[in-house]
Amino acid sequence: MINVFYALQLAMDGAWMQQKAHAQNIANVDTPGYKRFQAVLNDVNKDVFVGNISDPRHIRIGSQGSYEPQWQLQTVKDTTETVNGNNVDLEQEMSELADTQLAYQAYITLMNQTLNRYRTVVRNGR
Amino acid sequence: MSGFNTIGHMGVGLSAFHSDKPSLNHNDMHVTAGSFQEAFQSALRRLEEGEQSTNAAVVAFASGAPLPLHEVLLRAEETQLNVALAVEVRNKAVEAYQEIMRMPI
Amino acid sequence: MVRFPELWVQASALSLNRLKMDVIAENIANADSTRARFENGQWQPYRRHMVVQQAAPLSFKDMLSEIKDKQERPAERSRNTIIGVRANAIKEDEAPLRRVYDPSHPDADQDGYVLYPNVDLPREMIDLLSASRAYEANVTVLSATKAMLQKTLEIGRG
Repeated sequence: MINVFYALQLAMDGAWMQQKAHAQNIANVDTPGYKRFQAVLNDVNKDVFVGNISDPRHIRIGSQGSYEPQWQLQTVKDTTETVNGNNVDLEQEMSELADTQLAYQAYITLMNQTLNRYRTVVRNGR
Repeated sequence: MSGFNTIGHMGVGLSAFHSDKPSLNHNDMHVTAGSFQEAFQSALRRLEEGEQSTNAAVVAFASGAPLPLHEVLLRAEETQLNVALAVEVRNKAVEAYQEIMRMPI
Repeated sequence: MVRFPELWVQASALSLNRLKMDVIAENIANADSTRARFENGQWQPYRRHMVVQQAAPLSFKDMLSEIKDKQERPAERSRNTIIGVRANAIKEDEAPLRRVYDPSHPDADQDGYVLYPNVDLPREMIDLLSASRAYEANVTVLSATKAMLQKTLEIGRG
């Protein structure tokens, strides 16, 4: 069984990290030599999404003890650059910004829905 | 014990909500003859399948699958309604049982 | 696009039109540049640049290469491909250059003619208007799609 809460939490973390990436990229849209960042997932957590959860360590609900960051910011180097070495495409960043915002809202809404579903059962319908 | 059989007709309401066909077409409703236990168990089975498929859809969406957003949300809402309905039916059944047990013989 | 392919279509169009406007700006700036490249011992004038665009289908399979797509049915394949747009190449216009008679010009040939770039200013202005209109239209569509998705989220909020 794939833990729906963990999947949503991971997705939310990703959207949050991606938002940070966009904030940085747009702030540095004309900084010479700046390469844009993007949020990427650590390898160990990809298995949750693919459905391969043979290792029980992969299921983690909330923070148990130390919280290891699962998403990281990574530099994207292989895109076209302007003359001063900057590879930030403003149109792409703005569009992806809208996308990330919507994704985050969607994950929050889905999380609320799921919690309401289980809350209904726990509270006997009240 | 015949009183319990009439409660079996509550299965009519439960079977109207199919998690794979979101329609309230009256042709979908059918009277389930038989004991209350059968009706309730089949409804619970469908409820569990619906919940599993909803959870699968949510996880797939969270991991980037190209599911339309409205489809995921509607499925989850439907499951939510089914769960609420099942809990309500259970409560009513328990009430009815307690009512019957309170009757002086 | 990271999460919503519906937005990717407009994003690709915005990038493309921005590129077209940049190229047009270059053309206008260099409308009278008689010296652009030094070839074969001689200065070649600037030639008008143009962006060649093509439809760019983006299949969801490209996006989800790491996630096994077991549930995809054959009939859905065409529905899962989104067609955006992208710049194929930036090419030079092969149209003939302008010949202007000006023997006093440093780049005049033996007959006194100077070769000027094949940039036609009215044409460039029209192209610029067209590209900026396309840009605005795509921003409108992007906003509309975003609004629709935000409205969809209200399903789960109640």
